[in-house]
Amino acid sequence: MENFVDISQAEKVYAVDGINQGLRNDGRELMDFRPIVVEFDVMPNTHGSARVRLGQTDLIAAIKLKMRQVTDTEDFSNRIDFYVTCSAVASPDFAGKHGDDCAQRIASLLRKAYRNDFILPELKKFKLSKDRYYQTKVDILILQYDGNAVDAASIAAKAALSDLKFIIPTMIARDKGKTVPQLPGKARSQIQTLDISNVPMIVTLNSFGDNIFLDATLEEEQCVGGVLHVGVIPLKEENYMNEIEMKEQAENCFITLLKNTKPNIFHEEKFDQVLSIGIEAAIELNRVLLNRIEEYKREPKKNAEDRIESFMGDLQF
Amino acid sequence: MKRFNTYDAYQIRYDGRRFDQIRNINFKFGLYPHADGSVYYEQGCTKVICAVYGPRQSRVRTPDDLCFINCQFSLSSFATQNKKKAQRSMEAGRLLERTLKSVIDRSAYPKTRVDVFCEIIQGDGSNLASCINAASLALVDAGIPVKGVVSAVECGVTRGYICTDLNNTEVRGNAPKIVLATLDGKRESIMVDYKNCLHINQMERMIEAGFDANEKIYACLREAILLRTEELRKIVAVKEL
Repeated sequence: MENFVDISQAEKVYAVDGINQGLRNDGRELMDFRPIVVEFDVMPNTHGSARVRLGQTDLIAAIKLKMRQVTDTEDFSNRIDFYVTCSAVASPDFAGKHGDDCAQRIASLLRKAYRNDFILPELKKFKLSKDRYYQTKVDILILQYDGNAVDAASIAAKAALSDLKFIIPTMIARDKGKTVPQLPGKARSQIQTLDISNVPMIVTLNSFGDNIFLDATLEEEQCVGGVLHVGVIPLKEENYMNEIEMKEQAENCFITLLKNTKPNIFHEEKFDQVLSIGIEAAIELNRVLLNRIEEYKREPKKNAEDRIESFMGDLQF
Repeated sequence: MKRFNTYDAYQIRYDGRRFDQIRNINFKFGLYPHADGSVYYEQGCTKVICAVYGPRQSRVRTPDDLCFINCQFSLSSFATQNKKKAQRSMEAGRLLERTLKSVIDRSAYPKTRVDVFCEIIQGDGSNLASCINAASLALVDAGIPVKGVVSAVECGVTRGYICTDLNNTEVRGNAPKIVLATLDGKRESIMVDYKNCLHINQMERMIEAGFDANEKIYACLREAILLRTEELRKIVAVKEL
């Protein structure tokens, strides 16, 4: 991630001065995100998929369920596996193994944020029987990188999980404790989806001096002083009466990830403020994503002929 | 589960095509403007994104100081049913590189490099052939001088019949298959890669079938390039106003 774009000292000074005055190069304010486009079901051969464009950062998330056989499913907790690939299409620096470092960092952040049982209580359903379970793998492919891939990846993961469709087969017992799956008769009516209201949202907070800003572009990432990733589980929202209730909600949500990736020290007094900014941003991002998911579910299902494919369509920035 | 053999009964394949029919081709240029040339290419359900970066400064020097070509062929982890991790196939990358080396005019930009990256996001058979087609479109989009338009097709023997443009179900197994690449639709091959055992009697007919299919694919690619040139010409005309 470090040597993508060479920006000169003058450009760095320009960017930092702008941040000190509350402005960014593209006219955004410090807390503004770039336009985000989320599309669902872009990969028809996977169980669930989503494509997210955050400004110029473009990623696809795809979920595959794989039935595995073990000796005893009680022995471990079923976790979602993340696997991120930085495609060479995004940058020639990603060719060969070079893209893997960047990808590993993003994958480990996602894995940390998803490592608790509160997120998807329905994941217990995936333990089909004593010896078989569905392994959930989320694969994320970065097709274009313009900064802030972690936020985009967490949006994509949540969107893909909302699109996940699966069937729980009935398990027939065979000898020696093994079981064999049997698909139900009318498979189409038994398709289930997951409840993703507790899935975390990761927000990356960049800081330079006393200023905190969100959603850094590629150039801005080169001149930040500190980077903090906050993974937040927003609780179920009720109708807001006034701002006070929103603040209460902010104090009552869970944090699943708090990681500092650049060597930077936050002062104790500043830290609360930084964290509250992160939480507020995550809650807002989550609300917007859930709205989009609702909107997608309400759209009439297009049949195969006039389905506008994600890549062939005209929506571009 | 025994399938009804449509090959013998009706002389059509399981997806409804005749033996010598190629799949539908779709393309979209310029998806990734930060790359010098980029194309999203679909051949049936095989979807490939190809990006070309070049000519760029190169630290690697070839003998004769010609342009250095670097290709990467990458199958993403959700592309096929059974792949576990993303795979960067070295062998396919080398084949792609050899094909493009004979096509790109390497003396036009000495001491530089051209990088061609193909990412298969959905693989439904004919992966290498689709990548070659996508790469030739992306090279034209990047403005890199080429000797002609490369087209490639994968042919094989399924159920005893010679079929062109194989899809996933036909590619699996140990049936013989070849990937044949030609330049400008002519009946001369610039790259042939074959897998598994092929009977000498079938070879002649497979290659003929490959040439025929390549003529069709070349016609599609040529059409794509003409459309893109028209599109770009309009953009340039508007800018000059």
